[in-house]
Amino acid sequence: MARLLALFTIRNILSEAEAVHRLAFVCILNPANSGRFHIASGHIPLGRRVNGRDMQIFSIGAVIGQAQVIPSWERQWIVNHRIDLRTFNEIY
Amino acid sequence: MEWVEGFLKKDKRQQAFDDAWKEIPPYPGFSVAKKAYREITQWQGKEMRNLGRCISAVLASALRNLDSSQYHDFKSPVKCVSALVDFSLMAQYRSHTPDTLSYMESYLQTLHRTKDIFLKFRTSKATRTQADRQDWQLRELMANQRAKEVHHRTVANHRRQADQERVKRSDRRKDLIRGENHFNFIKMHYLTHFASHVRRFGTISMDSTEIGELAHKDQIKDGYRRSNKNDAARQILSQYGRQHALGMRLQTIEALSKVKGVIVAAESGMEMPAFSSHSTPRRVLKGRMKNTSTLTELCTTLNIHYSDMMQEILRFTRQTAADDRWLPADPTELGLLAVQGFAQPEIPVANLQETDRFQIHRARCTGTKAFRTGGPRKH
Repeated sequence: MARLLALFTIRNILSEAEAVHRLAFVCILNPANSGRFHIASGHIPLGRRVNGRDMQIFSIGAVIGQAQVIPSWERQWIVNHRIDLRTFNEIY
Repeated sequence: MEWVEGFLKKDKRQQAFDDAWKEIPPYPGFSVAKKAYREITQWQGKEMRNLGRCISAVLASALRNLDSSQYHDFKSPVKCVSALVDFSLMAQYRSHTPDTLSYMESYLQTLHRTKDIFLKFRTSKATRTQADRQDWQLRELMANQRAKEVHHRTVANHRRQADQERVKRSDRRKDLIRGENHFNFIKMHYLTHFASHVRRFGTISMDSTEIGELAHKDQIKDGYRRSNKNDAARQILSQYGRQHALGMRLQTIEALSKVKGVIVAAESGMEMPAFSSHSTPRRVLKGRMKNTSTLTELCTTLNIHYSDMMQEILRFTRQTAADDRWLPADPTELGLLAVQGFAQPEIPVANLQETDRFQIHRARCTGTKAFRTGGPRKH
């Protein structure tokens, strides 16, 4: 899970092929509480990565969809996996 | 929702619920509520569906920061609401297996096991009136008894007796409400038949009454408008029959084309390539940003540190194989490359159990700002 910070195409005009690539600059969110889901509701809490680099570049192809996160504690969110049938089926 | 409202009010968690409610972000196919949940007086079908999709997460967010004494009390309502939402989501599946049906049954069991926490918030108007009447009668009776007592009482005695009477009246009221409240209503009972209905007749979504409501316009109103208003019923039926037959024929052709990739004309044996209208859509980038022709400009526009961006691009370049390396590993050269920033990716996501239908997820890229040019996010 990550937050989209920038979305851009980059063209290598210095090479002959001038290939264009589509990239996403994201802020990684890690599962909080060691990835354990909340016992009563089954939600997975997320938090910002505290150690290590939290920003990364990915190809657009790695983005598989949108998620709905709801603010919970300070600097924490919970993933609403009941937002649609697909997410419910995949996360549950 | 009334039960949840009652629960939140009792435990003084309404403000936390409101805060979480306001923070619900948009999602494809989900319309964000414009009003606070308490301001909505009448819930329409679409609003109820939306509520079902977010209530569990919002409630879990509202019941946060618990101490050990509250933890047990707050576990049951979240469990109950989650079980109900899970049950309704699983009931919407287009095909079922014995596993999904057993899940549905287990959700229902959880719902029935935990629903008692909401029992006290199910007081009907009739019960309240009855409780008020009982309260008034008790008050009258106690006043009469007090009047019959001849001996003089001190002020302290009088106060003590008044307190005792108040407690007695309150207890009697609670007993009455506890005795009258129940979950014996038809909508609650229907849920027990869902699994057996699926086993006997197939998926539940086939029996949705919404389709019937929509059909009123397509089948009857449109048909009537196309008729000459003379013996309209017969013309409506034949018009719908023709449309239905053509629709079925088109669907058959589409299904055949999907299986083989070619359509074979029945008599001539000629084959023609089938055109599939459901090929996977591509990811599209939309919302070109102005003044983002280099990495420096892009970082300035989105308020991102240039050094962070450069570091990550270099790392990403190093990860790709040397032969496929398409970006220079020199930061100076990278800074010269042509860049174009975008605000929105459109990502096609296949629907569950309908792989030929896609929902387009339009994520927003707002840099460090919040959605819709709001202030910076909390973190």
